[in-house]
Amino acid sequence: MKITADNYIEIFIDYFDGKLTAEETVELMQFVAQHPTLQKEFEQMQTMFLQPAEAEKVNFVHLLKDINQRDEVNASNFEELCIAELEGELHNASLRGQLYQWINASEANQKIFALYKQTKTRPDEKIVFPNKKILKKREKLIELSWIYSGVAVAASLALLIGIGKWWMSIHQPSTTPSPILSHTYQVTPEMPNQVKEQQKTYANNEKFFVRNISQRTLPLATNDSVKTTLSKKEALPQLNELTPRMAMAETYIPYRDFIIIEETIFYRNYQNSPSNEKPYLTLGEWVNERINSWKNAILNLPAESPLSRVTNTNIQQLSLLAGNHVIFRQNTDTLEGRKQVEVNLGWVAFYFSYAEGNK
Amino acid sequence: MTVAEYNLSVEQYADNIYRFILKNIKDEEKAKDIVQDTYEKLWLKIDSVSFEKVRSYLFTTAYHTMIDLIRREKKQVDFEQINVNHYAHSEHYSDIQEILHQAIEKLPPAQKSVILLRDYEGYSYDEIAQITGLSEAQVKVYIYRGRMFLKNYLVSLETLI
Repeated sequence: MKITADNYIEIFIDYFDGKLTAEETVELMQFVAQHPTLQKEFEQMQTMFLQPAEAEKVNFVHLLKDINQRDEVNASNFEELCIAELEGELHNASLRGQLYQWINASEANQKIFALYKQTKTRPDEKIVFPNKKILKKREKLIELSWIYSGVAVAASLALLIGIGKWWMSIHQPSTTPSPILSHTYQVTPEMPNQVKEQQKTYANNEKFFVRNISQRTLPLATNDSVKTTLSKKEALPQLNELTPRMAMAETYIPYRDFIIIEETIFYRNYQNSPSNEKPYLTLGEWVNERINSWKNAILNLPAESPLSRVTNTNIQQLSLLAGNHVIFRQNTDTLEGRKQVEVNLGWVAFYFSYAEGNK
Repeated sequence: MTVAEYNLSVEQYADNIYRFILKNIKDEEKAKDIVQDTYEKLWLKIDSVSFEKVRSYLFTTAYHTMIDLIRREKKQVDFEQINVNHYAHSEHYSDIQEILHQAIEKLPPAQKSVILLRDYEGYSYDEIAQITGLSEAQVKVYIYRGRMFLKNYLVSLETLI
């Protein structure tokens, strides 16, 4: 309902005819309170439509103002102040005092005040909601669904991983570097005693940084061992004296007896090396040197000889392996008091020793 | 709010809400339904309603549920048209209180609720305004008009007697 300057008269009339709802009544009262010039007109209309006593009672415009700001208690606001007192709204001590003076001034006022005191309704405590248990709830169960699903996922993953690992274990190709090196050779009774002792010595004299060691002992088929005396100048054992024949002899050919010890490459730093020379050679550099040396040697061999063909094969293999991961190891032969050097290039293995004092 | 606090609110306020609703709609079964519906709504929002404000939440929810029911059924309480046989609830009041509750039945639903919230639960004008969605000024007017009406009703009965 929108009250305007054009329709307020009609709305006033509707109010006094009792046609307004409670909400509209309040809206009207607020409108009148906000327009003091219309309040007088409203009160005049009240006298026309209502009996004086009723007019005073229904003038709720005053309710919208702070009741504690009333100047005095009078017949027009007495009941309103009674209600305010019973509602706990009357805080003005002076006004309260006047109110009780009015109440005590006559029996009629006392009766009115008493009737208002009786208008406070009280609940019947005997009325209770039957069976409150149906309203109550139990403690919420821990939401396990996410736990169950998480466990299920984890179990599935574990199962898949387990299956995968099993599958890979039965289908995984051999990680050994070559089929030759994967062969395991045992020390046989026919092995020369010297070799047996050397094996024992190797096991007792591990002095190097080693990793992923795997020992494959090949019984020597020949007593020929590549031994050379190293010069004092060389940082590395001087292998220049390895002749193609010796290289061929030590070439790893299946069924030949060789001692092959595999370990991660390490570099040695030798003392007493000439200042103008590198203290050490990488194995790749060393291999290249050997290849060049053997090539020169091969040139001196008859082209059609078996030795030439074998030597060519070895050199080709060496060429392929030059710079690759190569096994290089030095052991101490306490039995003979010599240093033993082993070089494993995969397809070629070298074994030689030198006297301790000949570095 | 914890489940324990929820159950405590059942113990503390279920009866009060039931009385308030029952007084308004005069139907025990419907009053029970409203109370149950109110607590179900609270249960759904148990994590967002604090125990300190549960009372206001319950009465607000119950009131609006009741108003929705009244509007749907377009129930108009008229004292002259009231047939006591239609009541699904028998009241047990003292004489004065019985008369007052009979008078309250004549009030419009909004005014009746305001009076009951004020007298039964002791809510302030501001709290009643929040529960009912009325303005504080409207609540005040309803209270004053209601008191005056009840007083006049008592006077009229005394006059008859």
